[in-house]
Amino acid sequence: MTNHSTSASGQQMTGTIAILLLCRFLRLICSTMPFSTNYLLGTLAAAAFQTLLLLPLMLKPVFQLRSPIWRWGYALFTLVAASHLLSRIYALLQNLQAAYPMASVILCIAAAAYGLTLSKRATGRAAILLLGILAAGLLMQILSALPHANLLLLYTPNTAYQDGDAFAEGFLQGAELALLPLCCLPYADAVQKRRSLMGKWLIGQLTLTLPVILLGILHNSRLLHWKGNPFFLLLARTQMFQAVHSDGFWQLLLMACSVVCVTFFLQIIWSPLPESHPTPILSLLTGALLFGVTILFIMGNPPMIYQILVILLFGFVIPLIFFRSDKRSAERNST
Amino acid sequence: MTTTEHLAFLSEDPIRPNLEENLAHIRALEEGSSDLMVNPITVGGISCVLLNCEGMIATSIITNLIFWPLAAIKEQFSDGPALLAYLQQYYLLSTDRIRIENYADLFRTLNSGFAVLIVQGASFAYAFGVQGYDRRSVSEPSDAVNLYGAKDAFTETIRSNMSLLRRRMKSPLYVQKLIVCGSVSRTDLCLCYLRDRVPQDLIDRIQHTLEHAPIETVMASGYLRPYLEQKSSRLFHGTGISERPDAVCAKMLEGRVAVLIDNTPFALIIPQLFCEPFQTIDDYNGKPAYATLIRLLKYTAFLLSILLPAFYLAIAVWHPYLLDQTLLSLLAESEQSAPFSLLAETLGVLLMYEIIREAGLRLPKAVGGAVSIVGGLIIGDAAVSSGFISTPLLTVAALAVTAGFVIPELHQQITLLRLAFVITGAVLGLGGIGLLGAAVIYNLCATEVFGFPITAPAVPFSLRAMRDVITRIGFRRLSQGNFTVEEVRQHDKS
Repeated sequence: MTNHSTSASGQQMTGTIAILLLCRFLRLICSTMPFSTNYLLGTLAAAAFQTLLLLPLMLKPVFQLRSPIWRWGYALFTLVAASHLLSRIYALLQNLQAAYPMASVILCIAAAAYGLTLSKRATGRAAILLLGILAAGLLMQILSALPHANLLLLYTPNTAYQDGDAFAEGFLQGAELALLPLCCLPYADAVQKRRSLMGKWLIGQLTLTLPVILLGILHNSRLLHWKGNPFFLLLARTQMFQAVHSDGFWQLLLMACSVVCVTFFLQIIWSPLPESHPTPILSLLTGALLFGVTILFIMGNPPMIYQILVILLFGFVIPLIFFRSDKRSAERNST
Repeated sequence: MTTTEHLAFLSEDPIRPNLEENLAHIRALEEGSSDLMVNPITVGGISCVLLNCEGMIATSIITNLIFWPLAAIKEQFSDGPALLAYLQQYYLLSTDRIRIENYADLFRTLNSGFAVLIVQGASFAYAFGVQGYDRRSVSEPSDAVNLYGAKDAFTETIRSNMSLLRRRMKSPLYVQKLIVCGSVSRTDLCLCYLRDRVPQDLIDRIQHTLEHAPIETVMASGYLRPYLEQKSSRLFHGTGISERPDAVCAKMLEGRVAVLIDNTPFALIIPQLFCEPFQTIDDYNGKPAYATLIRLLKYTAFLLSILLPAFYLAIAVWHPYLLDQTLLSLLAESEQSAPFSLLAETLGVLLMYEIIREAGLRLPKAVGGAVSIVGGLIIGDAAVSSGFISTPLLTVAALAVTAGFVIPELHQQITLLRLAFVITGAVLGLGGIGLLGAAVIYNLCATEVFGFPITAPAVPFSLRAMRDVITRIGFRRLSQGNFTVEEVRQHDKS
């Protein structure tokens, strides 16, 4: 894990946090569930789970992964997570009736492979820029929707989904990302830096969750208030992607964010390997591998309960790996 | 022998003590070049030769400063070094005197308009600055025209350009360092900087890069940019050019390094951040609120110029539901009569504009105007009336092109991106525009020059620098605390 041994700058850490928040946003947009009360509860449960997971890591020193098995396992997990995200994006594009969804996914991977050939700093910077644009967009949406905001509008419309499904979806869209802060932990070689990193992550989570709730409210509210508009009458269902469908800005941002997030995943896949800055050919090969796994996901679409189980498993096992390596490295240092 | 090897050979080739041998060697190296003028003269009983290059010197200056004083010397000398020591000690001859010890320096000074005095018995020579070649006088800048700023611009002569900067920077902290680049042209370059604002290691790196650039000649600033920017695959430049001395001085005050190039009326500025083409000298002559408004307009114009035709295409082809019903029916009606697809129409209009622009640019001014009239009015009007092109599309294209004029420095990038976005927008809709946008943002974020990310001060964020990016705060506050770009680099590392 050669590149993990170098300490990351504050800018890189901020970039990592920005990417994580973008992933979170993507998950929200890709959700096929209505933004209901149960969905919101699931989101809050995921936030609580993440906090429980991260708080001990803020206090205890974390060292690098040393065993190659764990490194490869970690890379594999990231590959699966990236493919899962891409499959959700593909589903979203299909729901949006976008032009050539599969071509868009392939181009997204190609763009990410291009990003992989550039420096990691570039990914962080791009994520910060996009997060800035996203924040401006969210702010505009919230300001424009404030006159219509009403907490009573957090309702569960009559759809085929069960309450449990809505909770699971809410949990899943946030819970998967609980693992991602671990990606940047090896960079934080000082306690102060690590605490600052975790602090940023938690603040980011909080600041994103609140607008997400507001977004859900306004999304539902505009459907209620603007029923007379012939265009909005077309929106019979209240899934989150419908909000994207009615707004070109989010469609535009969606794909840009996807590229940055997938590049981030690819960089994590490469980071445990000795050659951390791949050549264009190796980048394309990684992209092809990612595409292969994504196709499996698109075709398979595993039930949500299995996905949550995998998340929980990794969520609890990966910190154990870190702590064990911490012990081992301490022993190694003492000898 | 390659040019570089030849140059290295000349650097190792010393001036001989024997005058005849020196002359024979020079003639052999020059191979009978017609502009070499050899003036034999005896001074104080020692045989000398005054060499100069025809057309590069001023006859009156060389007569008054060199010939007459040398002819007036009555003393007798035992050998050549004694004569040169006497001249060095008692005669000024020229303010610009260089001691020459090898043939590389001899030819560089000789071909730069110096008169070189070689003396029998001395293994070194002296070069005297008596340049008098034709030069263009200082005139108004051809681009970056402003209303209230200075009206002088750089010329092709490096010494004049150095004086234009020195007149604005009288502090001893301002340094002008001459170096040479190009194995054939041996072009003079001048590094200009404020030594209290630029780290020495940065100066050393820039100097090393320029001096060791594997280049034969430097005809324009574009010849050096690839060596300074290192990565050629980047879309945006990490270095800037300016022909305005006042703008260059303002940049140097922020810790940038300017490179003047002989025979080029443009200075290179290292580094240039992405936000800088959106700033002009006039921003600082007006009220801050107005300057802020103009900057916001420029950023909007930049985005419109790149994205407007692509949005038009993407929405019309793939996302018509995003349009208002009245607008949608208007577009549908006008497109019904057009015989080509929307993508072909858009590409045709944009490429036609580029052809007309290029034709107008390269032709003499009188004919250039006629091209604009024929291209803009006759062809445009005829194309719409005949139904080849729809009016809304032509309006969109014209708006995008006009918006691009607001930032002339980014014209090349705007043109390329506009075409690329049009194609992706037409093929993949808004998602495609987002994908290409991400790739462009990546490319932009990866652009660094000597460790300066050009996306600064937005990313990495620096509040102090942001005072003069999108907004422009009052001059009193702006001038408080000297901001330097080095802060951006340090911020990125922290």
